[in-house]
Amino acid sequence: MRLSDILSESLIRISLRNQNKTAVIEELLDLASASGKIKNRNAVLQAVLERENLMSTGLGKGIALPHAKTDDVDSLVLAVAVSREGIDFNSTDGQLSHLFFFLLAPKKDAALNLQVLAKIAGLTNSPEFCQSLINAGSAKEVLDLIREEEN
Amino acid sequence: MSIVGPVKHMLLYVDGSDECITAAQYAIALAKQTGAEITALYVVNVSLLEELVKARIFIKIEEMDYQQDLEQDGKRYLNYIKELAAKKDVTIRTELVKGVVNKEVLKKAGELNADLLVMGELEQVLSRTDTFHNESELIFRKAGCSVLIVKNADYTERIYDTIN
Repeated sequence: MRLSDILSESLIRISLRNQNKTAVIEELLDLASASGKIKNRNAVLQAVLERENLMSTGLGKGIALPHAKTDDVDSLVLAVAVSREGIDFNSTDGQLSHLFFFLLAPKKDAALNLQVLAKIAGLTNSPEFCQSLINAGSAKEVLDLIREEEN
Repeated sequence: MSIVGPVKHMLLYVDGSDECITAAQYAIALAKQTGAEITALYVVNVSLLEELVKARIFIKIEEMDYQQDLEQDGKRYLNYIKELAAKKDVTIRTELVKGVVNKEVLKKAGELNADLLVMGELEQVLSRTDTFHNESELIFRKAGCSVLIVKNADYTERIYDTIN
């Protein structure tokens, strides 16, 4: 499975509106809701916040990957968002986060979930690629860049 | 002089995908015709879990949680494949191990002296980012025995359905 197979323009936002970490997570969740796969928004929000409380998913180098495993999604949901200003996501390196991959995974299909997480990790290994996503002018451009990188 | 069959022992690589079920159906059909033995192997990909911890994507508790999930997935797939084989009166041995997937599969192929490694279809596109996890590609490239990549799920299912 490719990330571009589960993404669509409606699941990508190139300019996050919020600045506060919890508000950003809520915004990402609203964005992910466009998938139509979220059964219980509050339960999902709780799961993401609980994971975040254990340790920040701000991975450093401007990237954050808030995620949760929950039965309140039918199948994998991925949303991508950008903040050019950057958001304090309590990243391990203390830097602001600019690029967000928001992943909700059903409790079944662990192998598939891992495959997607590994793909995100692989993509975000390239600082140049991440910067091109941050600089993208539209959701379509973000999707095209990801598709191109995967192909 | 007796004719020696080209396949005596197949190793079926089970990765928890639909494609590996197709591969299992083909291996069962082949075993039915050749009398070859089949060992089905599922490897819990602990190296990927460790990589995700190193990349700070996972914390320890998630690593353990996913490891349990993968073990359960593996058992479920192996049991299902066993049932597929039993329906056709083919005996299949199953094994679940943990480790680096490609290394464990190749090690098992060597231990069994497998003469055919059967696996499901690879992803159509291999991007450079896939090298982080693409174990199937590594198995295919490094295997010391012949490798059969089973394609066309519908056709294979028909073959499986028609064997007695």
